[in-house]
Amino acid sequence: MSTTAAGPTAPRARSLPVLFAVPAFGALILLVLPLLGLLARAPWGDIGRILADPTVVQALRVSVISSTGALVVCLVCGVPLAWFLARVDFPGRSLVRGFVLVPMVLPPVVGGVALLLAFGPRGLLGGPLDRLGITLPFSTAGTVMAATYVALPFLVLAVEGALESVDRAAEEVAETLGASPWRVFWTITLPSIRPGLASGAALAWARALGEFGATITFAGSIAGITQTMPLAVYEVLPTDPAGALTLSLLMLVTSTTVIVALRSQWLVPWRARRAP
Amino acid sequence: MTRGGLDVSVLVGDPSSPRVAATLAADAATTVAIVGPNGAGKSTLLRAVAGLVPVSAQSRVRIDGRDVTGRPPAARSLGYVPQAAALFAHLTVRDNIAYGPRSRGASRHAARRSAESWLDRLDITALGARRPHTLSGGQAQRVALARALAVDPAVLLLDEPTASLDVAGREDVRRMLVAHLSSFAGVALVVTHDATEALALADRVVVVEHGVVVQDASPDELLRSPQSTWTAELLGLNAWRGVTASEGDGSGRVRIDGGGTVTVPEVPPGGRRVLACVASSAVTVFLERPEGSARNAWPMAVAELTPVGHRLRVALSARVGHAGLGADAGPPSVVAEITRAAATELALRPGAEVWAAVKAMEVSVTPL
Repeated sequence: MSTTAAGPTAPRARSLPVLFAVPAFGALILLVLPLLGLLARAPWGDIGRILADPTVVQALRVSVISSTGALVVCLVCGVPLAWFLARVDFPGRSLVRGFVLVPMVLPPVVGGVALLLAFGPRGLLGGPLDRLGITLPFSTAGTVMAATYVALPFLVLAVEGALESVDRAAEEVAETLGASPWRVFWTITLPSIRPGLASGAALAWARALGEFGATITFAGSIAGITQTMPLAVYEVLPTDPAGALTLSLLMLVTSTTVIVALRSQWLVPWRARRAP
Repeated sequence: MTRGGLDVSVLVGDPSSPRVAATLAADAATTVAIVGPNGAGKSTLLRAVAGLVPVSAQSRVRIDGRDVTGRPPAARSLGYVPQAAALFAHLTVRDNIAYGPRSRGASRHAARRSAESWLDRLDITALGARRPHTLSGGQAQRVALARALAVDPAVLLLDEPTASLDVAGREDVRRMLVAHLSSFAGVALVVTHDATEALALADRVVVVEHGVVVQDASPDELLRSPQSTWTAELLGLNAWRGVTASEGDGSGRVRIDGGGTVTVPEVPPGGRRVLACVASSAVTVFLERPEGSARNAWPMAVAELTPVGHRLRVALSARVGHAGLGADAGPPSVVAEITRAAATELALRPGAEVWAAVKAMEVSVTPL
């Protein structure tokens, strides 16, 4: 560090970065080193063979179905919920907001138990559903449900925040111009909250893809039916470390790609974009 | 197209202490400026007309002869230009303007064609493909006005159209508004806190204070006898409409509509309609014709004296039949603001014959 004299406030301003650099570097190590470990130990030569393994293919299929399904349910149900929270001053709004946050702080295993008690064979809604011939636990639909349960808060929070910060004047103008509320929502509101919606959807999808605790509790780990990639990693790690590593690598690459693609394409608000 | 005008009587908020309790009526093809202090309820009144805020049960809004109370904004035949334009950020300028016609059932093609014609009329054809965030404040206001006019509204609502602009943008938008509002077939309501803007644009000025209409008058009436201290202080100026006539020596004269002329520092080429303004505190009053450098010296008679704070408003009217009037004739009425001490010294009383003097430099000229 140079000790050249500067203005009277310069020394303090300079010592802050030094003070911060050490813990910041520690955080970076914690974030990056595991990834490096994964990359260093990956069985690069065998990847092709491992990826063709039926267990892996099945886990991949179940994961794609459950994470995409969860994202769709989150969008279809979560956006309207976020809209109510942001725009309608109904009684008990803060209570509902609390309920939305619960899956974020609740240990996922407990979430899985709670899901069982609600939708299991002897659950509050599970009994009647069972008599109708709909069984959610230990089915692929169950994995979608478990993933939705943990992912929903991410989407609702992001969309609610976006809806609250959006400029209402544009919506009002659209109304006066003759647009129905439905048209205003699709053509004005939705495009204006796009960055928030996209980041919420990306986070929700990533959370759904990584879901473990609630899924294994509520849906089990049945290969080809409810065994998602994280469950497969956990299951094959003792017997087939190379397979577990390959699966982990696959999830790492997929999630990173999605986040990076979303950042560059979708997360930038209109006004910050360059003119075409 | 014939229009039925606007008839409004609204109460917004708690009936015992309403935010707005105002009555307002205007014929078609009139521009009404709504002025008043901050927080007076001007924008709320505008939003009540638009149906964007809830109004009390006994409120009535009639637009174009139809009772639209309780109808949604979409069913009111409105064009609304909120503060800071509020363009649709994700649409091009052309699609912003086409949004209204499209929402009202026009085909994509017809909406585009209508947008093109409005781009043309507002002189922004070149901006059609641009996105709102690339526009200047003045350009954005033009687009917002085009978007509002494109639905052929019976009532046009403009909320502080120039408040967010810099000086150059303000001049530009004001000139554009003058041009388009004078040819607008419906009723235009313009909320503004800028006195010059209100006087330049409006056929009538409505002063709102504490949510209530305290004065509803023509610009001339308002200048002559403002009914509230706030208006008197805000205005504190004379404004005359007239036509320019160049002098040749760099300065010029404005021939006032009601008779008389005012010498001004510089004017646009002859024959242009302008609003000439001078602060009432810049008008000096003499008992004899002043000898000094003031380019404007007019024979007047005291019409009325009104105290405003520590000062005195002196309303003057042109002296008729003054010998050798000719080039000396001033505007039909002038308001001067002088100290009470000066008034005592001059022994001013209604009917007294005086001279009013104004330096050419003190007169500002706004093109209409």
